[in-house]
Amino acid sequence: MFKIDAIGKACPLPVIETHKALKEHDAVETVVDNQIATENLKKLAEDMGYTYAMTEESSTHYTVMIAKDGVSTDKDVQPTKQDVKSQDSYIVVINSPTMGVGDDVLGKQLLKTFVYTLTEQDVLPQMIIFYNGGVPFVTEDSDVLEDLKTLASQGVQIYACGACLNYYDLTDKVAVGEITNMYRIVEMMRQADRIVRP
Amino acid sequence: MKKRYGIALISSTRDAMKAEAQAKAQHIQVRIIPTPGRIRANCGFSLRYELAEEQRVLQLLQQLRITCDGMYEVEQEGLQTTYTLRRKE
Repeated sequence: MFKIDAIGKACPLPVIETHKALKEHDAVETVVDNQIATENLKKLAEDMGYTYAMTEESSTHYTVMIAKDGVSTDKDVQPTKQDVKSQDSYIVVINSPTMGVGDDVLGKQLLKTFVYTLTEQDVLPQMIIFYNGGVPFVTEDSDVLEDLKTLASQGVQIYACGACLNYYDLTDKVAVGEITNMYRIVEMMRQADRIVRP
Repeated sequence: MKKRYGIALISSTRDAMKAEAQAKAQHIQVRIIPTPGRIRANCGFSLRYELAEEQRVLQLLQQLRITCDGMYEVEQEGLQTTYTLRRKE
């Protein structure tokens, strides 16, 4: 049993480390200090088609066990949860302050409406990645901050490019999501089932 | 096949771009790459250079008064990459 101690580690580290470990081990035990992390790990297990078990040792100590499912005993031909999920699994990439090309005033409004409409979707994106002209949206002055926070609270992972934030001098103003780098961004984009870019 | 090269961590995106442009003008072989997560999770740019040109790169950074957060030697063999600190800054 491969064990990961993720106590004190901020999201998304517990998921990233567990995911990496699961590439080399069939069963991984991860200890985290908050309930949201257990929910994110549960999603990871479901996405990978693995089994998930969680024990709440205390309100700041949770042990999660994720393991490769041996043999499926379900003989039904129904699509597995994983199949159904991947049919409508997608990520969103926002790389510009406007949606569409044409009038910028209209474009800014369209993008605000797009993000709002995301919150109303039946199936939310797994993550939203912001880079270049999109990074201001994750900062304190963003018009869509509340919508992004709503999405984040429902499990959508929000990422913004660190180099871009630095370029625009906005690093200290990030108000939602995680700062990440090009390696992770490329990895997330190539592993996504679909990329939706407004 | 083993690859060996140097990288200089630059914390400011704009400085990294300035350095790359200047280096090209001075015919120093340098290119911007994302800073490897294993060295620093600062999500910034690094300048990748040929080890043989390290002195010229250092001089360039000093000339441009650009702060460098460390220089590392990178050794890549297949999927294995090792980083060795050459200079702290």
